[in-house]
Amino acid sequence: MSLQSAPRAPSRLGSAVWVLRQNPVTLIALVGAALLACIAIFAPWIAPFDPLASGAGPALSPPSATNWAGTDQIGRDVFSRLVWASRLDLAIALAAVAVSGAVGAVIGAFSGYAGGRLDRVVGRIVDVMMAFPLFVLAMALVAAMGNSAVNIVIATAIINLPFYIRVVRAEVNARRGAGWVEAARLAGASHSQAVLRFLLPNVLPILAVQLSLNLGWAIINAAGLSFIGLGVQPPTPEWGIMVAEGATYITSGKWWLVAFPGLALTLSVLCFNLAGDGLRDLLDPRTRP
Amino acid sequence: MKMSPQMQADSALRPILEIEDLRIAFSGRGGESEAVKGVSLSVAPGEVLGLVGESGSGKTVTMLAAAGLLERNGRIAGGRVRIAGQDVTRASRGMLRPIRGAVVSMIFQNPRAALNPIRSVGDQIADAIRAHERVSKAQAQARAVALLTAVNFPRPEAQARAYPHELSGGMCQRAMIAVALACNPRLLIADEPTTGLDPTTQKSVMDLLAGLIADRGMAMVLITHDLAMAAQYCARVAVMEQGALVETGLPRRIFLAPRHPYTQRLVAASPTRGARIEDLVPPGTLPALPAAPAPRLGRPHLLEVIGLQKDFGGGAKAVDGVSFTLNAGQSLGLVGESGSGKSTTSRLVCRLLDADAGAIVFDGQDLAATSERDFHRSPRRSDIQLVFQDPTDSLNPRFTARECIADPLRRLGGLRGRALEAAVRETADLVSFPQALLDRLPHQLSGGQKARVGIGRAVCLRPKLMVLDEPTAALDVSVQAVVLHLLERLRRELGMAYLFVSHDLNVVRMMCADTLVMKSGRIVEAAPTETLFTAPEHPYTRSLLAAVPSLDALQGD
Amino acid sequence: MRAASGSGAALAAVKGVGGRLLSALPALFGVLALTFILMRVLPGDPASFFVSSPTAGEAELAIVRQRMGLDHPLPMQFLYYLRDLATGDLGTAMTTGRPVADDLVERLPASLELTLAGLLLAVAVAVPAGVLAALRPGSVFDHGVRVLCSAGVSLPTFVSGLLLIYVFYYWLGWAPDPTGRLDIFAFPPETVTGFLLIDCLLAGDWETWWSSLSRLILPACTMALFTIAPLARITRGSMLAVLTSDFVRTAEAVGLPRRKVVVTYALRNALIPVVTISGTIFSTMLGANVLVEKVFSWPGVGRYALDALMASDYAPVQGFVLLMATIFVFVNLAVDLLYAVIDPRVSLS
Repeated sequence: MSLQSAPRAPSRLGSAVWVLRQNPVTLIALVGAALLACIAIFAPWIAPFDPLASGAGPALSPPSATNWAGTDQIGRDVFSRLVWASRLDLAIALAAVAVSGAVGAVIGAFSGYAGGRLDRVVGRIVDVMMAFPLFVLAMALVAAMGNSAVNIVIATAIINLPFYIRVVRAEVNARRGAGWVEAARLAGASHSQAVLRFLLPNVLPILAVQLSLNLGWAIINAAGLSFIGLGVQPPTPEWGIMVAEGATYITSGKWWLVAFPGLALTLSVLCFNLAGDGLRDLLDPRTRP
Repeated sequence: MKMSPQMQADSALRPILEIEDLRIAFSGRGGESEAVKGVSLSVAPGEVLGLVGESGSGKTVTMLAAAGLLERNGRIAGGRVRIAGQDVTRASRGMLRPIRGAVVSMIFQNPRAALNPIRSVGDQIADAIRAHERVSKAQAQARAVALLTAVNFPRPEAQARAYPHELSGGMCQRAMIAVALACNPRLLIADEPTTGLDPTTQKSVMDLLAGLIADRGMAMVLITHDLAMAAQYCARVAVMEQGALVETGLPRRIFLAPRHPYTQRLVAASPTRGARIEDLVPPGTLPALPAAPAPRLGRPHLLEVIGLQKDFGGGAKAVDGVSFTLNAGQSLGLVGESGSGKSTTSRLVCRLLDADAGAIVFDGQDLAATSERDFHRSPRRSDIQLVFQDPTDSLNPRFTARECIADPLRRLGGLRGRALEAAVRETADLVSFPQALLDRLPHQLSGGQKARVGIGRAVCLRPKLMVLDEPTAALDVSVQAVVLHLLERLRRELGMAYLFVSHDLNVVRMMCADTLVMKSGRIVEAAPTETLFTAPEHPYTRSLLAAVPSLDALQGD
Repeated sequence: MRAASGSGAALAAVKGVGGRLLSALPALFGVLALTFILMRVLPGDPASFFVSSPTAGEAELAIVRQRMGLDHPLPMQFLYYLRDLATGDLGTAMTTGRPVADDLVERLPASLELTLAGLLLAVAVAVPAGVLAALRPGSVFDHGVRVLCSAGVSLPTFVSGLLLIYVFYYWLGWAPDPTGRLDIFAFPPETVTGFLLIDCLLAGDWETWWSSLSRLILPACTMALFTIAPLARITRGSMLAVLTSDFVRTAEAVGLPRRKVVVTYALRNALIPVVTISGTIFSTMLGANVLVEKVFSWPGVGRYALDALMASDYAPVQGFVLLMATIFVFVNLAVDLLYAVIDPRVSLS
């Protein structure tokens, strides 16, 4: 009776499919994210017009059969600009999140493992960074470093850093006293190996969720910075810039200049947020059947 | 609940709790599963019933359902529950509220979590009183203080304003008893009330509870996995297995002449005073133990610990001048309550921690010379291994059983490829772990199987010294029996020395030839186990022994 | 509240507050150092940032250079910098020609009024929504709240502000034009607090009060919109966790009335993390201030700093960053203290 075995364990793929079927929302979100990636990659083939060329239609005309999202103040096709803008926004957000995720995870892991004073100091610094109005910090950084896409990436990466440090630090801290960590050391692993080879992979799922959630936040931040005129400059198509240019015309009723880029932003961020939530369910091995 | 005089007279005779053919189902990821399959029992007024079973038996779920406290994904699928004659099976919260606290009350395990952390204990008791009786705030507070006195709080007036985090585990449990008893219910359901408490605290809490119940003429259902405790405190015992009630009867009859095969296994597996390891499992189920090797005494010792000190800076030292010796093939028990320093000592010996002072001489070499940071490189690393208490906590959630065992073989044994695979298979056989399960993750294994993986991981490099940190404390009694048997067989076959850390004296008595008793970081008594148990010298050892409930009280008279 | 004696407890409390103030100092110092370095990193002559106009003469530049100690090594310059800050000298803004400190003081009430109005709105909507959703898990209301939260977190502030303007100003015509705090023809009341709503009430000027309120609504809603989502989500999560906790089960087991269980036992515990997060929320709003002020042409410190930044006028930007940092440090301190008061598990020391 004591050796009663658990029922047949289904494969990792099988359980992934099962969870997805339970959560149609997650499925839709993942499909949406994939779609977005495709649009960004295949933008040159999808966009009907040249995003930088005027003359796609009469200026400031509402959505029509030829211009699906209307035209802007110098006659450029809004839809084409939307599609091209996805490349820039996604690339900036992905780059920023990837860099800060990697750096933040390592810092957080070692800090959480070490404990004691080092950990407390790191925790203090992170708390300070997190509670500071990050947008203001991004403004100051971009102002100091100059107006370019690369600097936006760096600024976004820096203000994202505390999220990852904090999450990884908390998770590593919670696990560092666990039996299997001590067992790793009994099996001959050094402290560094325990952190990098044992603890970090266990924390990876939670980190992945945070990365996905932050992707949405990074997109909003990048667009916000462009909106106020920092970073990417016109005439480069970027969702934030498009909203900024359209803002002047909103009071005269030209809604499509703001609505479509706004919709694009909202949908992208929504996809990544929902995908992140769903990813959390998927990766927690204990929720597998 | 209003009752006419006639009903009141009747109710004095009827059972206070009646459960008829109760079925409970839980809805989960795979659909619905039945947790309780037709249980019937009754409790007479003033009776103390023990409900005994291992994990998965459904004992807690049955009582939660009776009190109407089932979780959201559970439902009563059939049967009936009557409290003081009233059918409460499908009662709404509104119908149940006047009964809860005033007729039926419940206390839970983990008392600190069961009390509101931001409300003083006095206020919580007063809340319970005012929920059922029309009294002023001042009167309720006064009664709260009286109740705290009744549960043996040393300073009731002042401590009524204390918060749960300011009280010890034992005091929290007593506060919860006060809350539950505030309105003089007629039935108290106690769900494993002493889990997580030290043996001496356990005894004082149970004695208190038994006394209060008797004084007020209350009935009690004591849910426990500890047979001996049920035997000591209950007038009648019911045994549950896998959602069904298998046997009911007087404690004496159940433990001396159990009828159902499960009850027989359970009784056999519970360590008693004179039990040997072979007695724990029905004969023939496990391979016979090889002969116990003759103990080798005298020098050279395998392990010599001299004046070990460790201070974490919290006031008292965790380990304060501990010295002992251990020979090859010897089994030494290390006994103490929480805070005694036994876990710290075990970590120091395993070189997972650095001591502040003292020497750890292993096989002639002082291990304290190498710091814990570098010890993983020492050739001695594979000679000292550790078996952990909680199998769930001690296995990497992302490693399969195979990878758990392979890791030390790869790192310290330097094995690769075919040799590694062969070594893993051999270890699995050694600890009787089925080869077919080697590719499973920990959460797909049962408690006993996880324990075997943990033991396999520790044993695969044939260490000379194994430190066992409460290796069976988190396991069910029947699983514990099998695991202890395995540990003893391994020790005799491989000639390892054991440092067996535990708070369970009966287990230590079976497994260890010699025993050390620790208190507040010091060793207060060291003696051969039999001597310790029959003629303890130190008063602390005596109180420890007295606190352990045992089935032996049933034998004789 | 605590079991300790009266005077002993008071002394401990004072020590605790003092301790926390001290621990906030490194944070403040860090920000000061950071802004100092940032300003030195910018291209060009640092002195030129702090003169009164782009056409300032050599003489003025020389004076400023000397005051800033630019001919001294960097650590000395930092000391000069600290001295200037201590005396309230943040330099002069080129765009307005006035001392930055004066400009900031004049514009701060506008930003604060906006942020506080937004916060109040957000709390008034999000907390009850979160609590009710947790009390009815799985219901239509609960699902609705969760969907709205996901959507709300995804909608950027500047987009929602613009869309609100489109709907309520252009389409429905209910809101006044988004050009600032007051109608251009209205006279502002006497400045007592700087908060228009309060000052109008104090002066008894109902017309102006109504005008400023109607102009405050849309931007406050925009601020609130993006805060409601995380706030509601956290409230719901916290309430759900508390409702399934062991001590709520005990409260039910001893028959406490529903109201007592939900309010005294569940809600009070659930709101603790919400309070602690409000500090973070407030500072996120301080950041979003900039965007909302741009969209609605609100005369606050955010817009001021933004305009300066676009004109390469850096002294106001530095002043703005310092101001925001100081505000957030003190808000965090206040939240920390509040937390210590409402949660007895946290000691002040």
